[in-house]
Amino acid sequence: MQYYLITKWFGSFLLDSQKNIVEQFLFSKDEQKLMNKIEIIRDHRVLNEEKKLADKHNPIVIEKRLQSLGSFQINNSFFSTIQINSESFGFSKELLHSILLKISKEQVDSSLSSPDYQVIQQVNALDELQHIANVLSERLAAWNMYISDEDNQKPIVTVLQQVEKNQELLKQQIETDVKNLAPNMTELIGPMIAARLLSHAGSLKKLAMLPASSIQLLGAEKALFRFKKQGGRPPKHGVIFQHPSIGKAPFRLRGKHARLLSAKLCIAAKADMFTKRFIASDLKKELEENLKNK
Amino acid sequence: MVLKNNDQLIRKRNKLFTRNPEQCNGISVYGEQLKTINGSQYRSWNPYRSKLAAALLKKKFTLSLPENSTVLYLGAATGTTVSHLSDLISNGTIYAVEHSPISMKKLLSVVEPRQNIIPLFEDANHPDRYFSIVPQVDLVYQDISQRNQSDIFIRNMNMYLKPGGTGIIMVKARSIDVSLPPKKAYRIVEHELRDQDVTIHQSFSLSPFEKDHAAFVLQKQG
Repeated sequence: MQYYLITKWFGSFLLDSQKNIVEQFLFSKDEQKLMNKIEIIRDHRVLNEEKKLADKHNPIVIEKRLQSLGSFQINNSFFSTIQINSESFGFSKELLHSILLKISKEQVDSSLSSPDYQVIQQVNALDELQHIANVLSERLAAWNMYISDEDNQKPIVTVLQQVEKNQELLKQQIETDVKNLAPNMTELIGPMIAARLLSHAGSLKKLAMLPASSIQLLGAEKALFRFKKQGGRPPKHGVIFQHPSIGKAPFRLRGKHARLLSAKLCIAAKADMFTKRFIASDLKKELEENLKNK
Repeated sequence: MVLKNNDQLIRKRNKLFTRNPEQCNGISVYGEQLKTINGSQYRSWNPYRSKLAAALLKKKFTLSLPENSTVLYLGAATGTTVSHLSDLISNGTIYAVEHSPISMKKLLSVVEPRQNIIPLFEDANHPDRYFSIVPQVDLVYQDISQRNQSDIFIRNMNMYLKPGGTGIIMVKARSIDVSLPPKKAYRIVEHELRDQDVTIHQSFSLSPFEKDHAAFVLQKQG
């Protein structure tokens, strides 16, 4: 006899191939207890109820989360013919609405408070401060073409001084934060370029999942898409150009150096995200050797 | 497209209005106009902001969406279209999937007074992760600007759409491949959809409301 294991938000069910419910565990209607169950499911863990139901039956499951309990078949058409209605078990839609509203709020807040999101906001804020400083100093330069009254300029001068002072402060903040978040990448290319790479990728996890060739071109999107649309020459480097080993290299070596650097960065990002081991000193040694062997 | 929803949807000249439910009276979700028609409050539906409104204004196509339909909405973003859809199916349920935390934050404030929207902070690339929440649905609607958007749509449709149910997919040509002319990008999507067990009822471009976007309306066999 072939069995199927289905878990809905209000309970776990074991069905036979005639679509009859053989065995079931309904969850508690208490909001807090139900929330705990759904949290476990959303963490991709297996519930105790599911273990009990699956025991010795080796059921077919549709969720990858449950693959240890039976055979995982995502395209099995049996599951699309099953409707287990929550209301017939006494669980209302209002309950689901209020639970998921709470869970989603918690998850959104935790991902917005993550350190990589904070670093990205700081980098963007720094760019904006830079922009403001440029605009204001341009205005002052234009104003000072003819000797003018300093008192008239005072409002702008004080803002400009403030902006410049706070830029330094923000930069220091970023440097310490990035060093904590991504020590390997910071060691390889310095905190500011590491922070910029993060802001282009969107998060540390996304950066760690990128191939080296994508890291090489982060920040050169405009040039890359121009190349894809209209042809011409593809870009060799994005924000990593700011690193002296590329920016100060002879023109014909820049592409090669960009490839070598981004390959090592790719490894460093993975170490920062997943293993959290410090391997940057080895990477740096290898990189320097590779750069010497032209 | 023509929606068959008695007085939930009103069309006046070239403008669409959906009826604001009582608990949301006075709330404008994205700065849209509120208007009282026949004694109840309606919200104007901006076709430049919502691709479903654009599709409704572009073509004559009958989509039967009863008040108690269930909808799986992929790529809910900040809830512009979702809020109007929630007006239309007042007794139904919308499962709104969104992966970006910033969009989700705004979406949650739309969802709070609307009992018929269930928010899901998930990645539509992995449809099995919300199997415990989402049942078999009458309509799968997708508006995701991803290169593999047709693949995402197909996997969700196979898992959640009832046989005979409707699928609507809004294709952004520029995210399929920037280097291709839009028509070729649409053809790629169309080929992928034709390999499935579906009939494509209609496909049309959404200009002038959206540039380089097309809508596909299809039905699952069975």
